[in-house]
Amino acid sequence: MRCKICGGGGGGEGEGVCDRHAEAERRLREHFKVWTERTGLGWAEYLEAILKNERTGILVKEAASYLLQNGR
Amino acid sequence: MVHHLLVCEKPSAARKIAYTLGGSGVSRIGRGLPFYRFQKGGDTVTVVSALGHLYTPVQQGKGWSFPVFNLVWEPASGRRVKLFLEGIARLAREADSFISACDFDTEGSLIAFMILRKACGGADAKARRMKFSSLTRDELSRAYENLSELDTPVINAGMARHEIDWIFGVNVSRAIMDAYSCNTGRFEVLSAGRVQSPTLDALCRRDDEIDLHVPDPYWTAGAEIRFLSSGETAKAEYSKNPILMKGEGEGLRLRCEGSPGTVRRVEGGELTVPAPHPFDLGELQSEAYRVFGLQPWRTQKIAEGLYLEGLISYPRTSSQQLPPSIGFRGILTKLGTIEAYKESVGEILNYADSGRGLCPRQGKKSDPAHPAIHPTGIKPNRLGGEGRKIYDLIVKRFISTFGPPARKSFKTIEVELERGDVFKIEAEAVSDPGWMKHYAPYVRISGSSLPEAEEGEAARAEEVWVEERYTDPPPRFNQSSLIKFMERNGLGTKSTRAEIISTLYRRGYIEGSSIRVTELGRGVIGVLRKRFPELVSIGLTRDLEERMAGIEEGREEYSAVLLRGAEAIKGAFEHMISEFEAAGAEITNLVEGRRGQTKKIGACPSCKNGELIIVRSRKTGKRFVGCSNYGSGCRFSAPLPQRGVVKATGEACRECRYPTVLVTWGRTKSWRVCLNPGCPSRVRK
Repeated sequence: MRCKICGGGGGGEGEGVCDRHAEAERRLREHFKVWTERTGLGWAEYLEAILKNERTGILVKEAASYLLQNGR
Repeated sequence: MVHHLLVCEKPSAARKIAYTLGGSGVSRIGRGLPFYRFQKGGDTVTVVSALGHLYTPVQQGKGWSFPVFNLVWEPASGRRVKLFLEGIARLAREADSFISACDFDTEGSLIAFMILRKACGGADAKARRMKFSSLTRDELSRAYENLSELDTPVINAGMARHEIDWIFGVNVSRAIMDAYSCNTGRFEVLSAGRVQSPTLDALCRRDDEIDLHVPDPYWTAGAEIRFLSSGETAKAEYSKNPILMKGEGEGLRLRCEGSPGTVRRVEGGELTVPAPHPFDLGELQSEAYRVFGLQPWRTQKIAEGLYLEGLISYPRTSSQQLPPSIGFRGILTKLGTIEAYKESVGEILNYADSGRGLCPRQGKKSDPAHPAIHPTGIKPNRLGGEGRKIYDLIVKRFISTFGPPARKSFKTIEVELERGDVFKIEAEAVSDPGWMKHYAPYVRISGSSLPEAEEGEAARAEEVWVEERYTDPPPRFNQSSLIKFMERNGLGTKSTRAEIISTLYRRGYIEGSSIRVTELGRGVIGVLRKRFPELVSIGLTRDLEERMAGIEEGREEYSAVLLRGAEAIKGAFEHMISEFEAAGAEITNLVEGRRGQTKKIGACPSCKNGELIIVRSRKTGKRFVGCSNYGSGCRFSAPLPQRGVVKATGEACRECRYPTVLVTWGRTKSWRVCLNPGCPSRVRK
């Protein structure tokens, strides 16, 4: 199954993203707890902030963009 | 009268050794294989050279199969190798004494041993060894007068290294290339190696950490503090940095700006900064990268050139120690005749004569074969730009190691504001440059000025600021930090590390000076992690390195280490052969899948039905855009920048409708490039 984010191989059965993007999404959700606690941002605002940040890894940006576009 | 045959490692070393030992009585004979002859103490001496390794391990018997564990040493390929071996064999027939005068390290000992054994008809049995660390008259004469036995344990360690590298590298490369070509019908160079692969794996892991980095926010606060008695101001840091809640920072700012306070604590003192230790190869490479931006392989090459000219000692050393036997005063006195070092040398000798003695600062690492890198004192005649830079760095470092310690003054001032918040000022400045003066400009002798303040003095926070910050991803490796990483993890040896990094670039597995793994490199590592996890394991490579060092020190047996290497990887081959087709499909999927993600650019504007793809030239290693219909005759190609990440934009050029790519360089620079070399948008630039 192709990854819904990058089109590469290795997309998992459930979510349909490859291992690396699945890991990016896992980390995004994990760090959201830190962000909410420190900044009080909501999920969508958090994703926007992550997308704008130049330190964010490329896989995390791709995952954040996918999550934003798909309203997840 | 005895006829000695001296075997050297390279033609330039043979020339230097011949003229240094033979003086003006040397005759240069021959053209294809030049050799040198002179008389010494009533004996005839012939000096001949190799071309590095003239023999290499190959499989016993013919054919392309894997795994192969039976190896024999055969002449390396190439016309020049054949010419040299025939010439050496001819000269060996005239000689009755044989001397190895190759560089005194594992590779040098092995090069001479193979030539003596194979090209000189078993002369290794009676051959002797010249041991030297620099190509100076004194040292070469001493080595020639005090010949020793061949260093058999070192030779065995060298043989084990080459054979294990073959068993790992060639077998695994053949396995993955075979599986790929059986699956696709196409040939592709996919290589692996005992040191190369764990290094590439480490680079991939670092890339993953960067690509998967999620920055977390935090805040830091600072203030401009005015000391009311002197009117002086200084920048201070909040003592509880970092601040982890957004609101807290703002509260602090409102609370502290304009607030009066008192100097709570003033602490000052002096730090001693001892002189640096002399260079080993790794440290020289990293220092040359820091101060000149020179790549490690280039530094090594330049240093080897300086050694061959007799200007410095043997550079492939792990030692950071200088023994008194090299003659400190003699070298310094000779360096003192060079205008650029005259003043420094004078000061160092005065310092030594004032009762301190000439004692260099010694580093921790030692090497039984060679001292740390140091100048010989011979005055350079003509040195090119980079050669001059490296020579200057080595000389200044050498002189500095004898220098007095430098001293730095530091001061910490704590100011407590009205509401109990504490801000801290920290400053330091060089008070006595000591050795730093002799190492300038490679060390900065400066510092911030130290503000005057006394405990109990009144102060005020004039301005308070809060800055939003984010956690950083780990830095990308550059060639210098990668060499240090390899050194720390026991990957490769001092002589091979820079070359292994160059191989990774040549294969197209990594790119950029801030190293990034390419999709091809990532594909190959994906295959190796799954099929040959032993090969990417730092643990196994480190274990083998330790065992090979054990052979050199007489703790381990050559055959036992080889067996351990073969055993470690045999199981993985058996497993792969039993699942060959599945492995082939997987390799194809990983390699092509990874490539496919980034290499397709768009439709070919020339043949209209092909697809433009990023190709890497097998000959030059450079990337460019070509058409997938090349095999059917489409010759469209377009150059690409060799640095940065290239991605298809999916958009056509506004001017000519050719496909465009986006080139990204670093974190912030990116630009669009039209693939039409004649596009008006490119011409205008």
